[in-house]
Amino acid sequence: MNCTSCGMPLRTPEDHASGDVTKEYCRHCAHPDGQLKSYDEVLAGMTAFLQRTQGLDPGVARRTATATMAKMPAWSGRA
Amino acid sequence: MSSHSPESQRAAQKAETRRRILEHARRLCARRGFARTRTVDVAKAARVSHGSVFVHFPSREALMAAVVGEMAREITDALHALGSQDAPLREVLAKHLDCLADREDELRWLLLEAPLLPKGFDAEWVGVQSAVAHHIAEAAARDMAAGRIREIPLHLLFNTWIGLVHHYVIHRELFAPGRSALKTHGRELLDHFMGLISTPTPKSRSKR
Repeated sequence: MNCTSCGMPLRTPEDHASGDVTKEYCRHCAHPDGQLKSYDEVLAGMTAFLQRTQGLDPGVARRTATATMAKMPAWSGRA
Repeated sequence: MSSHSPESQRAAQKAETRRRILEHARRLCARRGFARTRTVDVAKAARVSHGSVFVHFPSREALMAAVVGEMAREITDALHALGSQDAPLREVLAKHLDCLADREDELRWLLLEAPLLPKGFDAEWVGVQSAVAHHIAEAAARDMAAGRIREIPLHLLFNTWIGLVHHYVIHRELFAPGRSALKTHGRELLDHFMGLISTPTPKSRSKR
């Protein structure tokens, strides 16, 4: 299964938020207490990740993160 | 619902048809490229009606995006298995090369045609690269912390590696005519790249 917030594969318990396999989102998309981060927090984190690891232009990184999250079940309620 | 009920049999048959369409679309894309792969040819190869393709994929673009998405999923899964074992960077890069070498024809077309493909492809392609970048960055950070490689901004380390590998794939007729560029030269590229980023060993330092 994959993280319902960002799409990362969830293969081991450590991949899940707080190591809790009943949570359908990953450790990167959760606060330390295991709660899912807000949409804006995940968007900011994913945008920063794209810039830090691939050097994408800030606007391109944000648009890419927005497009990725638009396909994720955790954010399907958003327009 | 039992596993032999008519509903479950229909669902299984539907999933199998989708899988077959996707499999043949991938084969054709690997042979002809994304731009020249037509849905009518995919239908013929998969031995389904042309209309059946659109039952499973709403448009040609959606089918092509699924081809890239499937490739992305395979690469992501393979690298993710290594990431959870805290593998060193060299091992992650070797696995990355293996993943790309097994899909080199598809990858080459994707690299050559990317600027001409519909917008939806961008997101799928960045999805592939993001998964790769994530695992390379995590392994690189571990190796930097352990002093095995030099402190290099992660995006430059990633883009230097990708630039090198993709150059060989795009121009493979120059480096390995009629063969896989990565199966032929992958080990050499890996050794070279690790040599560039590794910290000097005590022996090599004493030579200065």
